[in-house]
Amino acid sequence: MTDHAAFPRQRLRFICDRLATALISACGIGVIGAVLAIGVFLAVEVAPLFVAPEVREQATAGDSLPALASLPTDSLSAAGEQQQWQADGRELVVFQRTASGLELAGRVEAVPPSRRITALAALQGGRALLIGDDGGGVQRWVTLADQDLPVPAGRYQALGSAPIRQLIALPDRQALAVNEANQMGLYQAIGGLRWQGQAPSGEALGWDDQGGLWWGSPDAASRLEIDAEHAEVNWRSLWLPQHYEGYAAPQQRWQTSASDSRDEPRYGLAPLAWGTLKAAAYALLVAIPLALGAAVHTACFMSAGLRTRIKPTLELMEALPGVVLGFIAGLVLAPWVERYLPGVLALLLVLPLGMLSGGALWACCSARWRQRLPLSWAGLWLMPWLALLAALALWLSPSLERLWFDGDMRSWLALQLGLDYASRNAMIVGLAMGLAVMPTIYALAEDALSGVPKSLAEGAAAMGATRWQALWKVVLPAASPGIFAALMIGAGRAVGETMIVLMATGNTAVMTASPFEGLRSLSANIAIELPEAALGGTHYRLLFLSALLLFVFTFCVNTLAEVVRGRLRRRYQRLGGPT
Amino acid sequence: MASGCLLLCWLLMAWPLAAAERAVVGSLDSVGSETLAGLMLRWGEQLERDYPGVRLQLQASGSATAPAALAAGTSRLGPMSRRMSAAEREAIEARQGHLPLEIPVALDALAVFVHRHHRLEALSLAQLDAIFSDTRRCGAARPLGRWQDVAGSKQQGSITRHGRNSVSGTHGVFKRQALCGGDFRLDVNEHTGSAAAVAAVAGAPGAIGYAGAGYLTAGVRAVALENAAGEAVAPSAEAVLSGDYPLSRPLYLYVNLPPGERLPPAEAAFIALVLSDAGQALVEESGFIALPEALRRAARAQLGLGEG
Amino acid sequence: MRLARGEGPWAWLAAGSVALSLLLLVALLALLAGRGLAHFWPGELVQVELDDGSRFAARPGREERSAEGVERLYHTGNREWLGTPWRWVEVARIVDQQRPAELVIVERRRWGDFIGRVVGLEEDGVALDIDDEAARWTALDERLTRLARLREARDALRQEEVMPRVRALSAEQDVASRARLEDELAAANAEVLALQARMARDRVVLESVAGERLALPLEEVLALQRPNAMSLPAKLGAWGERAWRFLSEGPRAANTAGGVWPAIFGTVLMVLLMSLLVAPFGVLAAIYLNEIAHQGRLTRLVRISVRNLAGVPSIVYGVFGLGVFVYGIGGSLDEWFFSDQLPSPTFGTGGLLWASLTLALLTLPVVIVATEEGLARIPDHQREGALALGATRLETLRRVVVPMALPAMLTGMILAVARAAGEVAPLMLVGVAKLAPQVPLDGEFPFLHLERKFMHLGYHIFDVGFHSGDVEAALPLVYATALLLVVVILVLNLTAIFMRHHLKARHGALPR
Repeated sequence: MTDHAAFPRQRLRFICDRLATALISACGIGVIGAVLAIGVFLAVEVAPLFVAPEVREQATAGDSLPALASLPTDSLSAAGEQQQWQADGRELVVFQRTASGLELAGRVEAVPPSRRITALAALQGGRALLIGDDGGGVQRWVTLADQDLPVPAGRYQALGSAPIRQLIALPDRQALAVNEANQMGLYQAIGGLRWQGQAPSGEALGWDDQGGLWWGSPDAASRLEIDAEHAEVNWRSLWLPQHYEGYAAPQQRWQTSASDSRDEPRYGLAPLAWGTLKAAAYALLVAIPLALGAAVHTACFMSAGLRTRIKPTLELMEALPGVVLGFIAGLVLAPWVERYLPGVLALLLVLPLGMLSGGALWACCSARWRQRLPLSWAGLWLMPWLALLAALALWLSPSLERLWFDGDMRSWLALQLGLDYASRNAMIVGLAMGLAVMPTIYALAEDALSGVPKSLAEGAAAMGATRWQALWKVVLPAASPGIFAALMIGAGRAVGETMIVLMATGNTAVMTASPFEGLRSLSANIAIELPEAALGGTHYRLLFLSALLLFVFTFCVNTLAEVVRGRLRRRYQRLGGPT
Repeated sequence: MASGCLLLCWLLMAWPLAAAERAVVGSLDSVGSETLAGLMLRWGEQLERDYPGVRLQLQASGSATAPAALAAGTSRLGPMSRRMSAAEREAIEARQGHLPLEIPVALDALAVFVHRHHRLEALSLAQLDAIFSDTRRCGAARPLGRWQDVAGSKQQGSITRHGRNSVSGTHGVFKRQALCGGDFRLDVNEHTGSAAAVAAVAGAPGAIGYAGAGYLTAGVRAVALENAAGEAVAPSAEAVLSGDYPLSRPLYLYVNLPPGERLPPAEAAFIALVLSDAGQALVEESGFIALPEALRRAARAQLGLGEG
Repeated sequence: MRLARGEGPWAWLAAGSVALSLLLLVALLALLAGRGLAHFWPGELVQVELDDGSRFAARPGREERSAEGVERLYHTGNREWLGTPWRWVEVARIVDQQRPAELVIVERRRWGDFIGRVVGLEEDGVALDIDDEAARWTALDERLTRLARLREARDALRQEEVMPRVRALSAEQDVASRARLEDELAAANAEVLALQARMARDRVVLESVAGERLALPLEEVLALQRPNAMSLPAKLGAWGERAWRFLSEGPRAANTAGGVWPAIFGTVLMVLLMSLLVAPFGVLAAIYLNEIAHQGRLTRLVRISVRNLAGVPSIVYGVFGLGVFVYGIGGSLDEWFFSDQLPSPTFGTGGLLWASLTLALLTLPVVIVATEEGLARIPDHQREGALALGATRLETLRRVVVPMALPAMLTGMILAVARAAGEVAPLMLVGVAKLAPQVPLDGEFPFLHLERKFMHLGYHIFDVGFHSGDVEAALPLVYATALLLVVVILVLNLTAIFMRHHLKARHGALPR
């Protein structure tokens, strides 16, 4: 082999190396880019929701004005689903529609004393009415099922100060307002004033057969393009209570109805966000004590031989599919807990007491027994003891119920504490999801605790501290960032878990903190409603927004946890412990 | 005897054979109602026995998914447990250029269930509205939150309510017919399936829920409802067919068929099966009410199918 | 004594948490195993007489205690007469219970189970004259065997004669060969139907305890048991047979009966496809991050982001998959390549490919993180040694780094597979179906149908548990399915844990 024979091979190797490196880099960057694109994509899909609506004048038709459906000529009256309204100075005259014709239902003062009503329009669905006055004010009134007269549902931002000349109802509960100064505003029932600008000269002429509004005079008409696809949504309407049709007061509601366009959609994200956080909170309430206790015991007290068995076993719980836990929670646990409610609640007390009494009994035992059942194996030998106590509590449950709760704890709760009991409730979710989140927190917390350099604990022990004191005063503070990170990652998991919440709750979008009431979470809501949502519609984009919120929340929480963990790792390295 | 047997054999063979000439092959996609899912599955099984070359793929998450899928063209069959709304029809017409065909395939009664120990005989629609709705459009004066407030109930304690999620036709029909178009209370549990709603009622003595009458299980009892004439009627096949029972609905199958075209053989075979006696026997087996012969004949005529 | 006081109550609470966690895990697995496996056991049938003189035969189930007293749930079958196949009975009302050996439970194709007695046999509508009980059973057994043979022949005929022609026909354009194929198909179909006519010969006459009679075509009988007359080995055999049928058959009766084979197949196929997608990309990305990229601030940031993505909720991936794969890419593919089939979408709807891709994206961070961990464990002097000997970077990677990190990569893959097998939420958006009897892999070109919908064990649990008409009948099935899923996932995870352990032991020995 001479040099010049080796030379091309050398070159080839070099080229191969370069090519492979480039390929790997390209693949790596591509993959990482694709993965990171998730957030970007969601944001892109959501963005149109928050684009400001616009009304544009399109090219004029010239001579060929299409056939137009006329607009209502009388701007001082409007017809709703059950009622007919007429303006009379300051007052709104309300007629009820009955089988025999119109019937006067009453009069109500609708605008401030110095003003008078100048325009009326019934919104789509006929259950709400827009009122314009001579000061440029626009407000909405809604009808209630059990009252003759409509009630005010909020005053919008005024359109200038000139009198409102005309209100033209549009689809999607929008309306165009025009005032005497020829200003034009686009109102939406929930969104309020979404656009304002100068109206084209002339009058509104009518609708063409594609639903376009024509404006101007018959000689020079132009078509108005109203670009307000998602006008009912803005940041405030998603989070604050809104006054929906049919109600006397503003409400937080998420209620979509695919079956009928006459229904006003209620897009309040607050109940869903609340439900998500509530489910996560109850899950953490179950998971944190269990996980931290188990982590402390495994890291500091358990014998090394047992630890190598127990730790993977507990971590294995993480692999239990959510759908299995959800099924057990929803179809087995929920009815069972409802039947043994006093016993289950008693467990909250009995189990910790049982653990302590186990310890006390142990202390009273002879030294031989204590050696045979050491604390380092307590994780195992406490099991039958706890199982016995739990069985006892459940066995006594009916007697407890008879003795203290008049035989029915649910009605006792309702009467004495005012708590309603829904069988699929936050407590059930907490139990099931707690079990799902526990292993995550446990594994990370245990890693943090056992990662604390042994020298620290040994130093404390040398100063005469008990194992518990060393743990409490030295090891725990040293590991606290790691434990914090564990809690954060656990919270992230609890927030995003879908199947358990979907199956174990009744998906009721209520905003209560009670553990006995249900909830509806963002993730479950996506799973239920996304398959039905029309591509590109407001509902569809709002579900994407929910996904984006979940993404951002978990991403932030996890980043925080990761940064904290990184710090901790470097600190241990400085202290000379294991990496 | 032998000739009778031969005749039977011939009858058994004749129908699939005749259709086999038109090569009944292919895959049927169906997206839509969850209520109809069980029935669609049974029809699918039967169809595959008759025509080995046909397969049915079913997605059933709720009636509202059917128009969406028909409009997008995701499927040609859209089973729905309610009638398609005007907006949904328009959406399909806008995308496909024509309206889907509407075929009633079975009748269903919506039943109101309580726990089997609950001794409540009948409810009026106004009471039902007061229990389930917070807009109370059917005219009740105040909401009903506890059983002791419900006339005719001997139960105590608070009412827990169970129903379907808003995607489902059951939800929509109940909203229209029992709540007079009003809103459900926020604390009505929304289950993803009727079976889950019934199971929840079976597990709690203070619960009430609605679902298709076919979902009746041993753990619950169907409550009779007062109709317009004021008589309490239990959800039975006779009461639904005579129109006495107030909460009933036809179940529909929507078919995407451009005007002037014939149904593809696989679809035609499926619909012929659905409207046949064998198909309607499966309807009864699934807990629904079979369609009267007159309606079936009309549907067959509309589709240009022979007497099947 | 001193020691105990010194450790204080907290130590015991901590120990108790471990015990409680283990207890919960054991209880959960025991519940699944107990209920799931008991489903296949041929339990005894009882004939119950109530205080009002009415009688019924049923299989007793669970009991519930309430203010009205103790109630027991009975599986009575016979739905066509009783309305529902289940019945709650107050135990206090029972005056007599018997266990006659001749009670049978018949699993039928329609109307669920029948419980009652066999009173006769019919052939071509003529009752056979057999009085002797034992002889009747022998005759019945013979006829069932004959039927099984005929059924086998018919299924084979369908598989080998009918289906290939059906496939050919759907591909064939030429009119002449179409006509020929159609003739052949008609002939084959006629053969099948002739067999079916022969299968329809026998009928068994059944009588319920309450006295209703039914002549059931034997063809509709799926299984027929006399559990009260069975010995323990026979019961064990029946148990095994039912368990096997559960694993090997498709679902029946609107998913409330039958087996889960298509769901097993769908799950495995989807996970396999996902592994094929995720393995190369995940490993390449990890190698890039750890070996090639400049280890600066940006790389650290990317690494943290990738780790974080493992914590992003799975439903978010589902939403992404629906928006990008199904509507975005799938829609475009349809426009470019399948425009003749529009508006019926081919790829523009959920399907196997999109589900696998979505889950691949979901599990990518798991693989990247695990592989990176393995790469980081390899001491630098190993790489430096290879480079010092004149190896290029590619050679170092191929000969030194990758082989050493192989166990870590495998661990990552197994963890990814375990996670993917248990995920359901994203699949609900991108392509799982309630029933897709046509598995995505068959003899029809192109053999693997990526656009088809598929069934999944996890979704099957959700669907059968929450959507099927008869919850009481569905619950045992759900338990069995859940048990199957959990066992599969636990085995995968145990493998991963074992390998990780092995890996640590091996690299712990390496000098740093």
